[in-house]
Amino acid sequence: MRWIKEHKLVSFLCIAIILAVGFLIYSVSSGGSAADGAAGSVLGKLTSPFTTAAEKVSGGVSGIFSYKSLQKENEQLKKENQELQKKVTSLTLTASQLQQLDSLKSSLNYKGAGGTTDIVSGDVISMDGTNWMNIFTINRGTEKGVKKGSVVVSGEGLVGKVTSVGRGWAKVTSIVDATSKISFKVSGNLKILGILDNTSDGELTGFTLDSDATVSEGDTLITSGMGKYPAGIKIGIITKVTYNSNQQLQTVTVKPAVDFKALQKVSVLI
Amino acid sequence: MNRYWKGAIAFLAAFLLQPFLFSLLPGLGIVPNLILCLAAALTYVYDENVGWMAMGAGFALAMDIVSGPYVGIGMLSIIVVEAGILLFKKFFNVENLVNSAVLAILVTWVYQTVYWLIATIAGSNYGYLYAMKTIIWQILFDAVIFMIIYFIMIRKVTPHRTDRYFG
Repeated sequence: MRWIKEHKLVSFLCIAIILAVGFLIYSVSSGGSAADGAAGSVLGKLTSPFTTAAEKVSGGVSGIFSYKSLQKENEQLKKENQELQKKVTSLTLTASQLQQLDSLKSSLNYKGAGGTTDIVSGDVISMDGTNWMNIFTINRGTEKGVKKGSVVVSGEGLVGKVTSVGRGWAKVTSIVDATSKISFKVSGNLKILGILDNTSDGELTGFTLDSDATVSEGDTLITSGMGKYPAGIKIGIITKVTYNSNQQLQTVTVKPAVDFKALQKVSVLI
Repeated sequence: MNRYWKGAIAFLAAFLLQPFLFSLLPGLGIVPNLILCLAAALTYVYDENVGWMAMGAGFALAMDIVSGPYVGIGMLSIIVVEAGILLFKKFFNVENLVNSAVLAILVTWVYQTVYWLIATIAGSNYGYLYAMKTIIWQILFDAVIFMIIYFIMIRKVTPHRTDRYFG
């Protein structure tokens, strides 16, 4: 004890390093989910009001400076709205047919392969302390039905998965930060299937199942529905196509559709 | 109020302002690391600095819990930075603007490098050059905050050092 008092600095450094390494080892071995529990909930609750305030300030300020572009966007949205309303009218008939099919389904006790998916919207309340990783925390958690492994999307496309969750918070790892397989289809030709199985420097890499498939740079990839991700979610755009003669595979490099650094609102599929 | 209590309030304010800054400047991708700047500046300015180092490590741990990929990664990075500052003070025992500016630049670079190293060992797929893509802007933001804190605190510390009854 006397030695510790006389050598405060060395003692502090040793204890702090041992603690930090211990937390790190535990966190890595548990898959980055060591933050669950009361600490995450309390700290998340502390930071959440400041995030909300900042979003309001940011929204107000950016609105003042982007008045003309907002006006233009408003006109465009009004036109789109009119077209969509016409489509809704034409789809009403289809909807009533669908309702009849649903009643038939339930009367025959038919259980379909796909179920309905609930969506929970949340705000990004904090980001990791780097400029290259894309791991962030949202203000929705177990109280809304969010679970570890829940798929997270945004208006731009597929964001990632929930890696740890607690009451009132969930940590999301983006698709470029986690090496998990994503089954894809090419948006312009739904018959072309493939798998994205690796990430490198913010991009996804993978291969098409048919090595003779015609894919090119600029093609949009969407989730195929096979695996953990529901079908039809935009993944990204192909930036490079190469043929790997060793493995005899057509490999693709994909830039994600989502701008992770600009994410503010996301939706979690329950 | 005891200066350590004031320091704790400053660290708490930095911790709460960090997500505020991120949400205020979305799309920029870079926000100054307030806890790093505060811990580094206070460790540099004060001679009895174990308290500041402990606070910096503690709040870095809190930030890891809230938003880090792994708990302890930011804490370990900030401890390495603080130890580096002590070494810097030992070898460059002259306090002037140039030394402070050099330290302000080194602090961010060392922090980001150690962070990247630990993340790579833990399985991250990012190359060093990709990770350092925006380091210049990060250094700029952090250096500004560091120098502001340094200039505020050095005025308070200097009379303290010349007081023969301090301690």
